[in-house]
Amino acid sequence: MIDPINFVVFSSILLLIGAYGVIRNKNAIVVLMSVEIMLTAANINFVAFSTFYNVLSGQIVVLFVTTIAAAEVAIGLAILLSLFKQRDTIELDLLNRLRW
Amino acid sequence: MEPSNLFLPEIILVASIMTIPGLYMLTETKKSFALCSNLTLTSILLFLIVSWFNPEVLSMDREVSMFLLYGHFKIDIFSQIFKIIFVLVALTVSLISSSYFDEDEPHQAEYYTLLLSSTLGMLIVASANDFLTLFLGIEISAFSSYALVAFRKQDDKSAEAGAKYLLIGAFSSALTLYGISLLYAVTGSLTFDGVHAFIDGLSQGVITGNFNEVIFISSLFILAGLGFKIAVVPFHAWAPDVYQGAPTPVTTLLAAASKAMGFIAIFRVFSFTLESVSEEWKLVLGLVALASMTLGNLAAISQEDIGRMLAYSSIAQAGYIMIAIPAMTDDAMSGAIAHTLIHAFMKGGAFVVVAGLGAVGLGYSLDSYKGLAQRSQLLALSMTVCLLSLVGIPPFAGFISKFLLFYGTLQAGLSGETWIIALVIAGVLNSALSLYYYLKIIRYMYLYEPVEAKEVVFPSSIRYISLMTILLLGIIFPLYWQSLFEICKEAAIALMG
Amino acid sequence: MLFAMLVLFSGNVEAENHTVTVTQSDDFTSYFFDPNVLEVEVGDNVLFVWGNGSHNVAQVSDSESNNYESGFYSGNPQVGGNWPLPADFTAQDGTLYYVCEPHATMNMRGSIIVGSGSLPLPEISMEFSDFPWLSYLLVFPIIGALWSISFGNTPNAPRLIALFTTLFTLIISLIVFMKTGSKSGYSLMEEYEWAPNLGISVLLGVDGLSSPLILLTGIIGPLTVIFAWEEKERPGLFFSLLLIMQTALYGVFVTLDYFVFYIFWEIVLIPMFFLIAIWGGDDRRYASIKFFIYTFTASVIMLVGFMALYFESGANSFSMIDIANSSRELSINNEAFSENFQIWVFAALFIGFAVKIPSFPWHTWLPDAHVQAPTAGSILLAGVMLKMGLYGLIRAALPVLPLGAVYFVPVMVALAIISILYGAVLSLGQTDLKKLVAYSSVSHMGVALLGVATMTELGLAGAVFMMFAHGILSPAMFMIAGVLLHQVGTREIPKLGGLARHQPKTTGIFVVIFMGSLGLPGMAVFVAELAVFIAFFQSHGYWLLLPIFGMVITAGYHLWALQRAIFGTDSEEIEMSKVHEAPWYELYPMFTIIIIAAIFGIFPHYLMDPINTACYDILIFMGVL
Repeated sequence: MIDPINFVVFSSILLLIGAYGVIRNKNAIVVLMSVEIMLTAANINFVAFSTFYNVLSGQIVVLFVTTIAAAEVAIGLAILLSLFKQRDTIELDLLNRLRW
Repeated sequence: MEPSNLFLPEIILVASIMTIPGLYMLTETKKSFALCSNLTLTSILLFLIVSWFNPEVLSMDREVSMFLLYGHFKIDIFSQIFKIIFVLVALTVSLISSSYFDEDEPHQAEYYTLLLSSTLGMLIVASANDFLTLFLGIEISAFSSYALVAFRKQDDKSAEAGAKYLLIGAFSSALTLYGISLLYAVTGSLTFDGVHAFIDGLSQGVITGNFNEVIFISSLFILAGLGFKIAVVPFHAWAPDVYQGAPTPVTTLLAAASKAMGFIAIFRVFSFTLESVSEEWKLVLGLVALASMTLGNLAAISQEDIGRMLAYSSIAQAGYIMIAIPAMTDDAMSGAIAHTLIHAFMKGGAFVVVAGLGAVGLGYSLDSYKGLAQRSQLLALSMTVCLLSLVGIPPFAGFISKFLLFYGTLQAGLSGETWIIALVIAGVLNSALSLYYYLKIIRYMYLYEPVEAKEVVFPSSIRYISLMTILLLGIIFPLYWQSLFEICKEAAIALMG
Repeated sequence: MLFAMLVLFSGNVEAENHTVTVTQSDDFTSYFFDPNVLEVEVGDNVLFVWGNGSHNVAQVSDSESNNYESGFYSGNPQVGGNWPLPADFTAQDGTLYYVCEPHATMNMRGSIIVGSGSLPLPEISMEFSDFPWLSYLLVFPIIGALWSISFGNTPNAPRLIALFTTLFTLIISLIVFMKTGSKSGYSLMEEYEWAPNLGISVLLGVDGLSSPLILLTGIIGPLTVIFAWEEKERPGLFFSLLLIMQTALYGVFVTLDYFVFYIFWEIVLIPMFFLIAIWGGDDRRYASIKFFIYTFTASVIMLVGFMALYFESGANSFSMIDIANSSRELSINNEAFSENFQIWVFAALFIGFAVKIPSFPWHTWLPDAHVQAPTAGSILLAGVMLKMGLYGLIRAALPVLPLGAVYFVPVMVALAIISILYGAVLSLGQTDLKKLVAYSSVSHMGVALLGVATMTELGLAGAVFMMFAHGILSPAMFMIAGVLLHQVGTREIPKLGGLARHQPKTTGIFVVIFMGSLGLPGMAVFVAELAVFIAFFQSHGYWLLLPIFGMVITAGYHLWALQRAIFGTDSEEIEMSKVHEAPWYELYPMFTIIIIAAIFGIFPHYLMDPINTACYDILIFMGVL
């Protein structure tokens, strides 16, 4: 059996990749994708430790999270689309109408 | 057998969420959606109030927590009191929406459906007894509010606010989920009780192992994720933009209800589940509270838009509430619960007035409040009561809840950790600081002439709700605050076990 | 009651007889009482029996003193015989020291310990009232306010209602003042439960400290209303704010519960804020907000202090009486209220009170607020609101925190003297009469703070008397400023001149008021200043020269202002033909004030008796007397 610490290391690397993507990217779609990577990182933890502890709850969480991620992308794309229609861009740096 | 009638509010909501799109197929009258939503929320409110005063009718017991769905759904005094607040706020939002939006505003069916589903998510959070249910509830509520914020597709502020809220919200929920997954990795459990028992065992040495670092890191992740929801420094940057950009009824929902939802999650996680490792996260929460109230108040001073100003005031208020969590006593927690509840009323009441001015086309800058007292004494008085409450000036309700909050926290500080006293003093001084920008609005309303001599008539729903706000914050809560204190204390005991 | 029963009860128990032998050794080397320390119960009898030698028995004040001053005395030294100790001396707890006068220097001394050996701690007597006088004081102005605002902007009804209400409360205040008299302890008490779980109740009561201030609030009420008789701008709101203000002020003076005290303390700010902000001068917006923020900041710090007191006492009660009692008990037993704690909490409370007093360096809000406030607002502000600070200090801080108060005496003395001098010097330089009066208030309240800082009965009583006297006379000074603005058109002293020829009656009243304010004998301020300065000389000696110098400046700027504004040649800057006598509604209040100031200046004991009793009680309670 693989030592569970490997899964934690792997998931942390995924999380950091995702977080880097969220923080550094200027394109809203890429940010959404990065968030998906972060959710996947959490999913890996859940699956790995579900097997490790031999309880199913972790895998159930993964099913829910996958659904949530899909819903999130659906809403996200809808909002970004309406934004794109108005401004012809979804560059995050250009979202600056709301400032004091 | 599980008493399924305890589940009634959620069931009614789900049914109604399905009905409104059906109505859309059948009828063209836009009033019907608002009516359906109002009726649904009123009936749930009535149900909750009846079951509050007559628990035995519904085979409930105020003293004992009830569990549904194999223990994943918990009904106790803590959850019920917040459910009442959520439904009340949602009803208020639903009532003011019909006067805020024009008759020919498109997509009203979707609007009310989303409003109800957002409320559903909040009710689920209030009763959640494990991390998965909590997470699902937060997401149901959040997704609906993303769409609500961006509801006015043609208004580019609204769309921009929606996009910002969505991206930051998604990021924060991913962080929360990762924190939960780390806790799961340590404890192998998802229920609050299971995690609590495991961590308790760890701290008492029953279970061996050194997981302090992992628990600390996971609590940081969860704090970061939930911190976005309640908008505390340094996770606050979205709040001013979203409060300014969203349609005002939606802002009311976010400021009054969504924030309380975030606090429920924080209370459940930190004050109960991770309670026995409080040494790990105490200081972090204290610092967050301190930064939040100070920066929130300082930033609010220079705002020119009422939504942004109230957003920063919200950030500061979240900071006040946060100081009670490191104190870890029943009294402090009941103060925090009381202030969370009253905050919903104060912010809700203030945003109702904002919505009223928006509805008649006066705009959202601070200048539009000049001479409000000449236009409507009632709205000006309601705003004044809300703002003085937010400062914490006696005899208004905000003073009482703030007093309970500082009282409980100071007690904990005096009997143990002295650094908490510093938090209380910082909170008290911050209240005085916040006086400056709240007074600015009050002065604008009473001492200045209106900028443009425009005759306006405020919608009756706004006026009635303002009157209710005055009565509640100015008279009822101050007179009966002993009961408020008792209820909050019971809730705190139910929460902390 | 209980105490009396205990005494009666112990009197019925068989009284024991004790004997003390008064004797000397045969070789004249040692002289002694046998036993030299005698422990007896309350009510026991003691008999002195002479052995050999010529001795007597004389009470002395302590175990070091050799000289008889007062107390029991057996007569001239005698040889042989018995002398019974008079029964009075063993009637209550205490320790009696005595010597034999001829041999006191040879250490022939003894002591009798009666009961527990220390004087019984004084109890605060509480007397509940059958009739809710104090509640009426609080409720009537509120009813008047609601009634008055319901008339909106009609000119006549609000002012009549306000006059009626304030006269009515004046009558009740007088009754309260009379009924309280110079009794010791709290009387006319009432208690209503509010939040029993937290130990909060609406506990009302009056003693000699608060009854003069209640009377003051009562007197100022109708005078303010009459003076503002011709208020044209939103009279309904104006008079109802005045009445709400009155309720809040009464509330501060009659509550004996820290929490409710704080609530009234803060409510005072709200009507005052609106009075300045709506009816004020050109710069009213800045002044009102500065006033509000300044005082609110200070009072929230005070609230933290109150909560600390509550938790430290452990009595689960916000009642001032309960907390004071447990403070005394716990600090005697060294269980809580350590000196360190008392110093910190006293500092917190002192900041809250010093801003209201206002004492240097927290006085800066006062000139702004006064100059911008309408005259009616200034009257209430200077007349009654400034008294809240010192009242709070004496009522809420001194009895509970005696060690903290004693620690802060040098600070208070320094701040008081700086306030006196600084206020006086700044007054000297003012051209605006209203600003002059504002700075003179700082100076006068400095005198009162000095009285408190002496921690003596006379000083404290002088301070309270000063609060009353200043509360009567400074409104009159503000009325002068208001009259000048209305009738002459300016308050700038250099622009005035020669008014005495054109309005002899009005200026005659001005002169008397100025004299009263600078401390002319026969007026109330003089009595207060005299008492405070005597007390200060007794406690601090020749430091007295500094405040005396301040008084010299005070006399200087009063007379100089009077000379420039009223006498002298006609000013060129005002049209003298338009200057008339002031109307009745402005003259009568000032005249009434002169009468009152003279009454209490010539017969100060009407006020001094209750004040003395209360101050004595407080100092005894603190243990500094």
